[in-house]
Amino acid sequence: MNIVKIFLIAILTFALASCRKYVENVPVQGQRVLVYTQDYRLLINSQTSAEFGSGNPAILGCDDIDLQDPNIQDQISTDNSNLAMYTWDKPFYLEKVDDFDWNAMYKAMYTYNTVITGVPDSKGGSPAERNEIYAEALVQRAFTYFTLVNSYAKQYDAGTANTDLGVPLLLEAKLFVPLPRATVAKVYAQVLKDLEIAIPLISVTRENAVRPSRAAAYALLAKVHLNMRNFEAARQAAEQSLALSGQLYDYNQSADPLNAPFPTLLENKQILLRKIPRTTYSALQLSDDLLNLLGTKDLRYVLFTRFGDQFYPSFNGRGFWAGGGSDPACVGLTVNETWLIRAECLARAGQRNEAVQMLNDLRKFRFTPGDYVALTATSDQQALQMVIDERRREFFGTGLRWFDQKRLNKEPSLAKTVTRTFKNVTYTLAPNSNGYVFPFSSIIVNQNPELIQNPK
Amino acid sequence: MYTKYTTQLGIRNSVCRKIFLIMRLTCFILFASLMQVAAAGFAQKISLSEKNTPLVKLFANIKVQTGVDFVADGDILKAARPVNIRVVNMELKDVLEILFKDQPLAYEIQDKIVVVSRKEPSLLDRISAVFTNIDVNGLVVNETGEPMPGASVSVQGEGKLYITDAKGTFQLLDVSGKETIITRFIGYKPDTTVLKSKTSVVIALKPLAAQLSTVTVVNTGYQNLNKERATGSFGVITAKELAQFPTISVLERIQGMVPGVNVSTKTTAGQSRNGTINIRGISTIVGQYTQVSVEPLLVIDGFPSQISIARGALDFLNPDDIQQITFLKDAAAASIWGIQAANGVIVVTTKKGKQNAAPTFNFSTTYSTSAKPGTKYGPRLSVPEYIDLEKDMINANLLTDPVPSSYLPANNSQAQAIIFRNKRGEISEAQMNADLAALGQNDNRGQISKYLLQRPVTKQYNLSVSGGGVNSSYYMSGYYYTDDRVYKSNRNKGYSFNLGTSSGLFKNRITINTSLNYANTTDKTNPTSAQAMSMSTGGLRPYDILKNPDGSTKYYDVFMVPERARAFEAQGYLPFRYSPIDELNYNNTVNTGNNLGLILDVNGKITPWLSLSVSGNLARNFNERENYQEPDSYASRIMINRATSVNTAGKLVYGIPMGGKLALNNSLARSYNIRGQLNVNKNWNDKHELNAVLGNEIREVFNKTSGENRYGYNKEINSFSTVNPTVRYTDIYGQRPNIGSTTGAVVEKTTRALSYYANAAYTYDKKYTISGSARFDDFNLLGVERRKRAIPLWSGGVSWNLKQESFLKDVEWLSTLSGRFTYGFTGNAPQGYAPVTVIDLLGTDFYSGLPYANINRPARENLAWEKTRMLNYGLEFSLFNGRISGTLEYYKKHTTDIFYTLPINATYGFSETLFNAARLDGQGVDLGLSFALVRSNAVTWNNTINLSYNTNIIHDERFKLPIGNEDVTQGQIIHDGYPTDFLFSYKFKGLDAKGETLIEDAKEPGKIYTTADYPYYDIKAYSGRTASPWFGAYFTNVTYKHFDLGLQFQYQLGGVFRKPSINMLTDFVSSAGDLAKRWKNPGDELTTTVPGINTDYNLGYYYGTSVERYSNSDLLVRSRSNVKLQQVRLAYSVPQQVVAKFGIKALSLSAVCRNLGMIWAANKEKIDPDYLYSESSTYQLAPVRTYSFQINLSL
Repeated sequence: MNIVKIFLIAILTFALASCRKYVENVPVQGQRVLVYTQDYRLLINSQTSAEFGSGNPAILGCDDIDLQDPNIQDQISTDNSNLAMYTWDKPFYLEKVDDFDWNAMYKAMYTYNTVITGVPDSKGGSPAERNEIYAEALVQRAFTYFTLVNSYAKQYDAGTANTDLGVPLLLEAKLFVPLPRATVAKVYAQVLKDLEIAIPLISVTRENAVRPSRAAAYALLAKVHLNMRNFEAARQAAEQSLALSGQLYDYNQSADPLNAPFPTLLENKQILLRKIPRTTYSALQLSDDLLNLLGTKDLRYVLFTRFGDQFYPSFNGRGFWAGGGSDPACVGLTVNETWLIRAECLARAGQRNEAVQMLNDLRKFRFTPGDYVALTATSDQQALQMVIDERRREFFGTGLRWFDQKRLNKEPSLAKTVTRTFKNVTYTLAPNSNGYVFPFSSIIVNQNPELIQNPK
Repeated sequence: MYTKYTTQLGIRNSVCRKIFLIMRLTCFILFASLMQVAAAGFAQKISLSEKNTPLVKLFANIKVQTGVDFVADGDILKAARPVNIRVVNMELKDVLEILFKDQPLAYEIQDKIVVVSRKEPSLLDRISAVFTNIDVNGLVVNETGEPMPGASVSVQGEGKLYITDAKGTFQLLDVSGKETIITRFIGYKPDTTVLKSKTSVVIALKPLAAQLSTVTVVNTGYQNLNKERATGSFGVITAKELAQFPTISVLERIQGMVPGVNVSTKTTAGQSRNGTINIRGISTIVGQYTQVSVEPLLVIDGFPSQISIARGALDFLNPDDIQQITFLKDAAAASIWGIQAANGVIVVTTKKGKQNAAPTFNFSTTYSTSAKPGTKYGPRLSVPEYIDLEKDMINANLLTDPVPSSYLPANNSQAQAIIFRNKRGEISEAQMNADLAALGQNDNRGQISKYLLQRPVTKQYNLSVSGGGVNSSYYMSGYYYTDDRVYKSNRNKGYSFNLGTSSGLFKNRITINTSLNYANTTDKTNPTSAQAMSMSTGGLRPYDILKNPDGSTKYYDVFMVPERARAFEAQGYLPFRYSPIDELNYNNTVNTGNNLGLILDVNGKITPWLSLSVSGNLARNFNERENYQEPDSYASRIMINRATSVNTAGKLVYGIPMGGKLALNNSLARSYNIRGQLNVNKNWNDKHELNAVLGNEIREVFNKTSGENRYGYNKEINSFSTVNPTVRYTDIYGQRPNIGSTTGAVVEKTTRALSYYANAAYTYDKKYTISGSARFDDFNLLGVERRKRAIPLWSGGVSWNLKQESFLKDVEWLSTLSGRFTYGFTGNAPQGYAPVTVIDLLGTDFYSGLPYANINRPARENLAWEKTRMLNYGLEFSLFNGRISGTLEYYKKHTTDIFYTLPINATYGFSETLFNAARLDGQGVDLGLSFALVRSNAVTWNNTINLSYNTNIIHDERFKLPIGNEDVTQGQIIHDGYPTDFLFSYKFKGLDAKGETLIEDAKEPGKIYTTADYPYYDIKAYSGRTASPWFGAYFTNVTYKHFDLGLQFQYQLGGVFRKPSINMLTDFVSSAGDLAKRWKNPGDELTTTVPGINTDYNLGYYYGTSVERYSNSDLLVRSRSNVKLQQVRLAYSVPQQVVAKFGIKALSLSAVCRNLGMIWAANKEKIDPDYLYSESSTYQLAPVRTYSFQINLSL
């Protein structure tokens, strides 16, 4: 009996002492602590929050849109935020209302910063893999800061950029740090720095529209330089991008939408980096100004506009029909935008024939062969205006026009005062006015007073 | 303790001790040969002549004659037999020989001292004893046959005391078989049994005369405890009590039975049963994304259930198999379960067979039917009033004509269609009025009741067999039930099998228990009836009849206006029509649950007071949810129509294949536990008693879910179409969506826990008990260090049995009195948050085709555990031989560092994160009182009152928030200084001249706001709690001969609710009765309080505010207090002598009526606060009156 007793007690003691590993080495399905390179790959593949570029304020604010129909005016009046954005009023967001555009972009930033800080020391991947992931995160962060600073701060101006307030520049995934606004110059410098590091490391081939490639990085670089008015650098970057991925989509292929629908953003080879607006107003009535510029023969008119009874609320007029009904509008990086950046830089550099040639090469894909008419320019200024008009035709409904307006206001010859009449009240947006700078939601300003609110 | 019995000459005690030491050593060395000691050396002669004289007295006599001293251990002489002796002048040696001949004593002569000791059997004796002696296995049971742990068993004439173990058994090794054993237990008559060479005995103790039989055994899941000697707070429901309720739902059976346990059996319309249960209020807060459980831990036969109560764990139990349910209410009772016990523990033990019992068959069946359900839920508008309201809303431009809109809006109001037709000039004013008047003749309430509702009917059948042999026992049962619910086409059925065995091996030193059970439930739900009574799609307006007067089915267009629908149908689209009566046959969701459990428990006795048990369980639960939308169902037709477009050739192009849709969802949960446990059950001298367990266990729970959708499905021929989920098609609106993923993600999760636990209780002199319990749990928490992952949780308690004290022992009228005090703490680990970044792996992104992962929560450092400290004071008493007995308890709960998600600056990437935020102070009183008003042989009248009080309050500076428009869907919102279940209301101040609501500022009296003012904060005043702080039940039971009449009342006192009123008015206009009294013309504000709708469209914003302020005002606040007569039961047990003739052991019949409704309510409208009518699909009809008949037969 004694032996039995000793044996039993020994078993029990053993059982009590040896179990710790039982709870420590358990694979938790569906969750992981960041250790391996592959973990960071999964994170940077995520489209949650990362897919959002600019949103409603830019789309509603730009002069492509003119909500003339009383039906829409009634409908949009029920939403304070949309109404404020449309009438260039502030604040956009009532007390206790979040700015989800801001939140989504900074949420994606947390992921990018986590990857940028963690992936160089991750385990299990080759240096090439780690570099590629690192570079993708840098391009994504650069794109997001570029969008943020252009939305919530004044247009980059070399003269004042060192004092103009930008956005909080968080480069680490960390809670509870102070949130002072970095200057516009500092944010732009960070964007350029990120791109500079990323370009040599990033994959040359375009894998997928949701993963940035070197062509996308150059496309962003071109866009950044364009906004900084470094037109020569912008042209070079655009050319680098187009050399890597310069294929335009011929809209004639989708002229019959029922048989050959317009490709989705993933299928469309023109898309270098897929970003979509977080929200879009449901009935975007297009301005007469834009419709006149577009004409009715343009395939972009056929594909991307519809009569107002197809929308909610229905209206008299034509509305923006995103992606030909296939997908939301793209507000990311595209071949056609890079194409037009190069054309603009050429026009500005006095190479107007090359610039117009580029426009014509693009327009061949935007009209049926029967409707195509080649453009010609007699002056550099005319060529530049043609590029800018082509940009309007190419990007209406995406809000890109808003940033063009903001950018071009720096040139008196291209600056434009926009007016719109809403419920018999006329609203005016003067060039370089505060209306071009989006306000922060009062929630985040109240939480961190060092985050200075933009003037009304 | 050695005593000298002949003190005259005296030897110092120390010398005695020394002598004994020497003697024992000698004995040890000469063990085999020198057991019978011869005396030598004394020559004195002795003369004695005594009859029946105690031995001690003879020692004194011999001392006088010879001067020899006698020493002995005091206790052993008690076993000495009186002596008859007659000797003359005999040698001391010979005299001693005679004196000790038949005594169980040995002696030794040392100089002039005779040392008396217990007689050690010689080797020969021992060898012969092996052949003649026996081992006896005993079982002590109470009057109902339940095992009684902790009973003391002693063998007469021997000092040893045995204590029965957790199963009520004890063992006597190596006894002659002639012994008499005495068994004692507090509150029971001592029992004397002669062994008569039996190797197994069952001792049935009977309670002391006229004392109410009280439950004395509580089960913590780890051990059985004698309630008298436990310090913790326990509540117990026995099988007998459960059997009084004829419901299938166990939760309904236990409602009101235990003070401090609050059960709500209210379910949502889509579910067949279950509800919620909480023990002593809440101890934590479920906020946004905080994953703490608020449900008590459910333990079945010693192991935690892997599925929660909310997910139907109790539905897999056969209610007739339940032996006892123990509620562990305070920290001392529950803390042995550690982290899982933060909300209390419910321990269910199932029935077992009895040893040495002939097979008993038990059969019972219950049939329940109900009153016809009505649809009268609160004051509603009459049909003409309703039409009038729709007309007013159109005239006020609050509704627009859907027909001209190209957006295909859905508005199928018949009245609005008529009015708009007039507005469009299609019909004259007179025609409109005639059409509306005709429509006003319809009232669908009767038809809803007739075609969509039914009398709920339930049937239950239960058969069990139990019995046992000398060393084994078994219990088997089978159970089947069906439950037709009040909503037509909603049916629930299930069955279960249960088998339990117990076997004793090696003379019962090792016991093996096994249990195997399997249960299946099938739950068919159909949403049509509930939808028809709601304001969502498929909802009926009051004039929407189900059948035309000619008996044909009436169809509606709920997808788009009829004009549009007919045009589409003409193009070849499937019919758009909808009829609730048709849909009852379609679109059923069938939930099939299977639950399998296996338990193996091996218990070995190491010594009579120490045993080791190793046990384990294995459980599997697989659940399949199948939703089949038949090809003809409305859902399928609309799904296909929606995905259909017309191409340029005028042909229909289908985006989704023709046919039905099948959605399958599977879930699997499997778990195992392995446990090793040492049990100590030791008693010394009947003064000291130690009861302890020490053990460790491991546990793993694995969950897996998956799902898929099949299109073009036809069940009759089992065919389906393969679809490409990514291909885009053109839909009816011209949009280009795709079918979307046809397979759900496969989600798997493994949770492991490693725990060490100990619990010990020491009782001194049956008066004072001190207990302590500790547990250490370690979990697999991702990324959390061990010292933050696992902290020990503990509790301690004392109890004092005052009745045993000398000053109360003689107080006749006081039968028992004891007091208890416990303190302890439980906690919750910050699950879901880690100090490092954790990613969620989410499979392949549907859009991009890339595998991906997300960071759902930021890395959080320095999060502490949420801790609940609990204090409990308890007092138990019974008076006048138990005629009055009761328990009174007061407890306090302090939860600190409550996990709460608070907003942070979204610029950090997350707009909120977890904090250790508020403090929750809870307290309450549990009172249970029983009194027997009549207690004669023929008639007894027993009464039980349960009353509970529970309240809580939040303290935290961070929650000194302005009282705004709390959005409760965002998770629980809390306010500093208020209970968690607050209700805030606008202070209603009448209507203004435009018929709009005026409210008063909550803090500044006299400050009035109109609907144009929009003060955001602090405009609501506290109205009270939405739960009743006082609740309980009253049972009264009269027994006359073989009849038994029982009534159960349930009550709630205090608390408030808001009378349901106007919903926000959309095209689906509310039919709330208040609207009949709405403001219509200036001046009405003097006579009515209901705001009007006569407002310009541009002011619609204010109009919504007006209605919202009215419906959330203090004007509609009512008291929740009410008393319900829950059940009346009449039972008859056929007399024994009658049934015995037919070979029947027992036969009883009973009739029960349940849900008799409120007999008193404080609110003047007599609204049942538990079933408030809301115009949404989650509304559940109040339970209807049920009549049940039950037969119980034992063979």
